[in-house]
Amino acid sequence: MVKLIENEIMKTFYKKRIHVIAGILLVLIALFAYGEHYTLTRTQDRVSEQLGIENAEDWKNIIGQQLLDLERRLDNPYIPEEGKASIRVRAEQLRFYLDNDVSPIGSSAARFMGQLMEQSIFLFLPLLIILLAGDMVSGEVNTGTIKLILTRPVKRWRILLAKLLALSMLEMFVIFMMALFSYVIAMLVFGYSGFNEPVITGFRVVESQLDTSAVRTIPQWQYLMMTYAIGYFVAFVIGALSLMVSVIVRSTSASIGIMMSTLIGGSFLSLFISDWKVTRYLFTVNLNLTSYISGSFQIIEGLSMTFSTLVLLGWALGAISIAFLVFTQKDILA
Amino acid sequence: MKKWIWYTVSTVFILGIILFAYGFGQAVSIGIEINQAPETNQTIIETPVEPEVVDAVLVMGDSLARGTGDPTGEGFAGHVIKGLEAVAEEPVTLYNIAVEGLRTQALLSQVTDPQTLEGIRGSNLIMISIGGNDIRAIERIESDQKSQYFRDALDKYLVQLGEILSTIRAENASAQLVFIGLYNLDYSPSNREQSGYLIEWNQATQKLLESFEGTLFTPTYDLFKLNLESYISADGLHPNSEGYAAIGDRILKNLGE
Repeated sequence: MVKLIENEIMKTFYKKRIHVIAGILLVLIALFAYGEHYTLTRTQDRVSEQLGIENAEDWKNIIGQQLLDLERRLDNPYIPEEGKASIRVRAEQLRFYLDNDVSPIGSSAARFMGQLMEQSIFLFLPLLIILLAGDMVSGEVNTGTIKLILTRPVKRWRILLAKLLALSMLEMFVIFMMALFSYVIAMLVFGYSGFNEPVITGFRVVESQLDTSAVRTIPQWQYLMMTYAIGYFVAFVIGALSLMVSVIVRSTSASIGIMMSTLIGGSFLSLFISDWKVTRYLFTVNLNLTSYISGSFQIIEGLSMTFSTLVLLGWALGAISIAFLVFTQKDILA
Repeated sequence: MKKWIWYTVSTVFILGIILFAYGFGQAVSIGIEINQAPETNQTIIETPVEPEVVDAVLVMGDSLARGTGDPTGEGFAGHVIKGLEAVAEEPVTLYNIAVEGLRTQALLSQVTDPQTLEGIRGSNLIMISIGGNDIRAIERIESDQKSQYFRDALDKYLVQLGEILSTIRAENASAQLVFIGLYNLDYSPSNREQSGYLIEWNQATQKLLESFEGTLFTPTYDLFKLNLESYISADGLHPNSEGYAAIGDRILKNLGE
């Protein structure tokens, strides 16, 4: 079995699929980092102009003053406990900036890595995975090598399982590349890693009102681990779906095309999600899992982390079952 | 066969799975926690401890009362407290319930809050700074309508301030009330229209205060005129430490401490 998986992985490398994905990642991450850097310098200039800051150290006074103000507000017996929770986390964040001599206006490699995953989880990452998984089976049909494989004394389900496992490993490799490239590029651009910086999480919407009583801070590295883990989960789900399509349609270009149009077209359906209840069971509207833990809270009632995870898991399991069923039953005529 | 590719991919996979199993578990647990309905609203209002010390100061109003712009965070209130403590040789309690950007309307609803009333009852010096945000809203109005808007705003302000003062007096008949007047940000003759409004505002305020027992209007208009450069902080709006110290000194002198 291990040999079979190894074979599948080597095939992907020989076909230069990974190289293409690495190239796309490098170019886009570099562009993204440049854009981020460009806006940051502009904001910094604007802020310092507004506040009349001449030397770069002055932000400390301003932050110090804000912090002091927040701390005094915490001592205020007239502010309700719910309000204090958000003041407390904000103060904690400001204190970190002061203690570690980090400008809150700047950016860090860790912050950039998190943003990259948050921005790419619902479209860019799935597209890369489709590119990777789209020809896992149909590619073999196209080139005719499927016949060579299936004439071997290996059970069909073992072949597909090897493909699935190889795909899972390659997906991990893509996520790894994403993390590595974004870290290296962001370090070159921003020059500060910031893995211990506190991140605010825990916003929730209760009865259409933003509730901040569960808000707390976690270190950036922990937040990154969560977002990238979610990224891998999404990659796995998309990979399973692509594999299924690849098994069914037999043509690589058709399978990639079908997956891409479903992904993009399906995300339009999220427009109707609040009224048309069925749409929430589509996988495309549930991909943005990171938004549940980051500050960008969901406005739609009824959607939650658990709900979306289960929906995605259901799609993945369904896709894998169908793929195995079709692959083991189908006649190979080509 | 390039073996190293296989080794790299499998190592990355195994490490990644271990790391992400933990990360994903955490993400889901946070996600679930967020999704849980919060505990039924705890409406237990913490009644503030009634100040037993003789000298308890309550400060209310806008960012000026809060001390915005002062790097030490003290504001004029902190300065007054220090002065009082130096004379009394015992600690003075300070309750600062000021909110940045507060307008008179909002102060009125804050004052009628049961918790604020509690604070009013327990204090023997109450300092108020309000109105600056009300009058600043008029600056942006077109000049031909300005006069009308100013009259309306001033009338509304006086009614609201009157209510605030009578509420305080009804709760606490003996506490000394100190009201901080407004200063100008542009004393040049070219700004005489706005300055005129400001003076009229201050005068009307002082007149109103005189109709209540135990009130003191502390002007700042004259204080800042020649010291604008050195008293205003980097934001160009709030006083800096020196500015607050000057206001605080004046209050202390007026109180006879």
